[in-house]
Amino acid sequence: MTQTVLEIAELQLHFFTDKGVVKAVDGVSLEVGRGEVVGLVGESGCGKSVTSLAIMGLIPQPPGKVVAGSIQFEGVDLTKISQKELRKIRGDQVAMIFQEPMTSLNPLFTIGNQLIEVVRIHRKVNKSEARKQALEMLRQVGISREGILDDYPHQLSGGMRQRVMIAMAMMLNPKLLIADEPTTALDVTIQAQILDLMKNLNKEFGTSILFITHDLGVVAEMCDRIVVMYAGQIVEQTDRFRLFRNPKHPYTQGLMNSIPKLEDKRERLYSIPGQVPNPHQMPSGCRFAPRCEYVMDICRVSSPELLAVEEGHLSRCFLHQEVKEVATTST
Amino acid sequence: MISYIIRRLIMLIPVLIGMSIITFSVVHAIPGDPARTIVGDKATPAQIQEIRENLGLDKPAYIQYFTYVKDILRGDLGTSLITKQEIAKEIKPFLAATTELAVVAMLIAVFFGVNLGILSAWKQNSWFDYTAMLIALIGVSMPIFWLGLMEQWFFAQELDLLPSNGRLDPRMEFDAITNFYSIDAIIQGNWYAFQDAILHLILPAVALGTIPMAIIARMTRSSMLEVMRSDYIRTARAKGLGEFWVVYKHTLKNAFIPVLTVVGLQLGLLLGGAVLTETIFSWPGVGRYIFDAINARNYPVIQSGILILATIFVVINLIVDLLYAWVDPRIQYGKGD
Ligand SMILES: Nc1ncnc2c1ncn2[C@@H]1O[C@H](COP(=O)(O)OP(=O)(O)OP(=O)(O)O)[C@@H](O)[C@H]1O
Ligand code: SF4
Ligand SMILES: [Mg+2]
Repeated sequence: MTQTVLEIAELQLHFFTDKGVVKAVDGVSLEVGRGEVVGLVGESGCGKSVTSLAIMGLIPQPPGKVVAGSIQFEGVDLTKISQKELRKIRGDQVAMIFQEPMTSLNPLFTIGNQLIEVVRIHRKVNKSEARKQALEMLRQVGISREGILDDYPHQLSGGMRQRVMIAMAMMLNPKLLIADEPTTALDVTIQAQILDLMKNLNKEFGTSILFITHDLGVVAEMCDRIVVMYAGQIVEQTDRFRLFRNPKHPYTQGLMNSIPKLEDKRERLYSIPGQVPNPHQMPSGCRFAPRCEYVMDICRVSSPELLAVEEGHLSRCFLHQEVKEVATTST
Repeated sequence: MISYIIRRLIMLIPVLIGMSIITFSVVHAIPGDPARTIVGDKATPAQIQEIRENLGLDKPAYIQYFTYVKDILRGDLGTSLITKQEIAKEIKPFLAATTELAVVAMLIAVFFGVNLGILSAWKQNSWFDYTAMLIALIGVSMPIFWLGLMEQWFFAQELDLLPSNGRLDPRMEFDAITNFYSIDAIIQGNWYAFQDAILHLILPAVALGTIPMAIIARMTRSSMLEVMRSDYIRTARAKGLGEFWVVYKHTLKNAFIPVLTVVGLQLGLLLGGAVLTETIFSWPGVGRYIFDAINARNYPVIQSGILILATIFVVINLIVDLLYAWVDPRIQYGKGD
């Protein structure tokens, strides 16, 4: 058993909006081990970004608030410590890269300025030393062009900017790197390069990665373990091999079917029917029930729990759970 | 940057030509015989002839125009009809007085406006934010002359704290060198005069700076709020950067770009406001100089005064544009290329 770097337990994160409370994260528990790459997968709006921002302490507050649960990082509960203590950790021990490389760098400061800043926030080093470190890190992410430090973000392509973002995140050799859809905005060849780069960094530096994506194909390539989220909850969680060989939850199966396959000559791609539920009106039973092809009566009245279907494989579905005592109400 | 500056300077040429045509036409827009209108009904033909020659009205229009431009380029702004002095020389102290007033007013407006805006955005929806924005709202809707009179009544009359008129205590011995009194006082090491000059500046500068301050404060606040929502601010926070630097480094620099436009515009409008302020506070500036010239139908002075104000306006805009390019690296490489 590897040591855990990150352990989220029963996290509840709500947004208090004018239209009511949105339970964007509703009882999420997950772990990331040392050197492990964990994939967090799910459709748009299921709460992936919000979960990751909660780890960083970057949830806009108000309207957002962690109302219950804990986020243990190296034995420290990040939900309990002050902003000041949190600032010491983020950027240094936990770093994050974002989906939008085009807008994630400040347009008015040079690449060098922005890279050096990370070092100078957390370490007592002089400018020229920090510059050296920045150049070295850029080389690690595959940019060795002369003068890059004096360039402004608008002079770089999207792929280059994402490399810079990765370099920035890796500057201080963090224990945990959170990557929120780092390749979604990039075209396919660049995407593959960035994934390769992240895999290498994971191997070389032993950095644990929480990799967020809605693309199961990317997950298959990158991740040791996979957590599938739906409507603010985890619906399935297991290692890569089991998930792809034997997906249990109907939602995961639906996601698998929507991966385009080369031999498949059908005109249209499969997609799960229906839409993610409106966060203001969650279905009362299983949240996936309105879209599920295996839906049973009990699914509409009672919420399944996340239980082990086999060793190291969790799923939140009545299909493979003993239905204890028929639900409280009968319809 | 150099090539950008050169480009901007070249773009100035048509603007300057247009401006000179307009000011040139000021005299020619007078209905009937300008010379007769200028001197009035009781003038003798000899007097009218003198005016005509003085203004070069006896030659064809295009020659007059070229003469006019040539004179300007040589620094000759004509002669005042009243004092018979060279306008270029005569206007200097007035110009210095206006510039000093406008600069101080703008410094007040920018300093307080920008900082109020920053703090309001930073502490959005706090009592500070509400108070500051209420003040800004009142400031925007305050007529200058009313504010000026209230200031005079309260600070000068009731409290007897600040002088209400002029640039200096008239009893003071003082040699003007640059005609920027505060600077002159420093040059001469006359601490007492410096103090007095600053005290005289406060009320008119506040009257003149209040509206721009309020507008700048609102603009800064909304611009800051917008930038604070952007991805790169989230990145800055994700680095572990402290909130002070997030606000004053990453947010402010970006938020300042639209504020800069407003500052430039307000500085231009301030010249208009200066005429009013100068009248209320008996401030011997260009506004007063032109105002008096209008009353006296002193056309050469009106003409040159307008030309100078317009030139200042154009130069301010040029400076704002260059500041843009300096703050925002994207501009020099952008569409302008
Ligand atoms: N500032 C906010 N105010 C109110 N609700 C919010 C806010 N931010 C996020 N949410 C809610 O949280 C839910 C989860 O959003 P999140 O951004 O985590 O989705 P995601 O899984 O990352 O989706 P995507 O794939 O589109 O990035 C959304 O349904 C949204 O309604
Ligand atoms: S619990 Fe029922 S509705 Fe929900 S996924 Fe399982 S079968 Fe489908
Ligand atoms: Mg997201």
